[in-house]
Amino acid sequence: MSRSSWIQRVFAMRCDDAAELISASLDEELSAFDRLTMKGHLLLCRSCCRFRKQLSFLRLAMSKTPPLTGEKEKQLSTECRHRIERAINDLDNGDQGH
Amino acid sequence: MTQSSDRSTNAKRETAQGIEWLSDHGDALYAYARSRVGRRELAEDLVQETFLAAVKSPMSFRGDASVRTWLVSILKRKVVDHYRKSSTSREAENESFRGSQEHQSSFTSSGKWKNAPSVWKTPPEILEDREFWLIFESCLGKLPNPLSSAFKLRELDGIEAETLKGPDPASAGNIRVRLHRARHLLRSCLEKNWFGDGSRKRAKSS
Repeated sequence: MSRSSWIQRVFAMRCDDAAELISASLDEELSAFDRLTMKGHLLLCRSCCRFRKQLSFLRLAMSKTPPLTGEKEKQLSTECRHRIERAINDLDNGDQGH
Repeated sequence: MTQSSDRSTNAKRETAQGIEWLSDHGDALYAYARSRVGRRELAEDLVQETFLAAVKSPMSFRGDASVRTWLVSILKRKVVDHYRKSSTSREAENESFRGSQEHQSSFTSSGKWKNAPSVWKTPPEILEDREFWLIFESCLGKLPNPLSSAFKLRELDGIEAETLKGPDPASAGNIRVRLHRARHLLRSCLEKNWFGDGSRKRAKSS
């Protein structure tokens, strides 16, 4: 890509599109074109820089999440437990179809 | 004759093993499934499938991981499979970020931030702060499905976005949009309830 078309694209880039690329960059390798345009936009835009830092923090926080209190309370109901027991017993009885 | 009685002894042992696994790990598997897929019935079905698969293939458990880890890995594969299948059939409609509610609440129609993101103060101690985690959990709990599933599978389980893409090329962009929308919702919720001006003052004044 030529330098002038890159500069044009950087200046034309909207924050909503930049935000989408910032998020996508956490999940996939961006094309060189997208990556450079995003970096250029970040040089110019303080809000999107902050957004990027926030997303990095979200990733960190998700990786450090302690066992969630709401999840610990979740228990298999007695009915479901019995149903699964029956299904396991059925396997023994040669019920191959299930 | 001996062969068939061997088989039946084996089968009995496997059944007993399965029942024991169910009693030791049933709740943990269910909690995991519930957190990833949301709906109770679906979580129960996936847990059941997991135990049946485990009983049918006890040989694949070689003791190099704990039973719990092994069972969770089977369940995780089932959750991912389910996620991929459901994103092709049910949600095949074109999802785009610009058309979403999150876009409308965060950006103007010309793509500018409505409320510029603020600077988040995130000292390392924040990760030890119980109050922070309560807010975080409540914000995470507000994510609607399928955004919540996609985001948790990606961030809590480390599943690659590529893996979460359905086999249908038309749905390939969905995962990108879903993860982005989930991050938007979560950051807005935290900004409002923890990092924002009002809430920060309350947190710092103590």
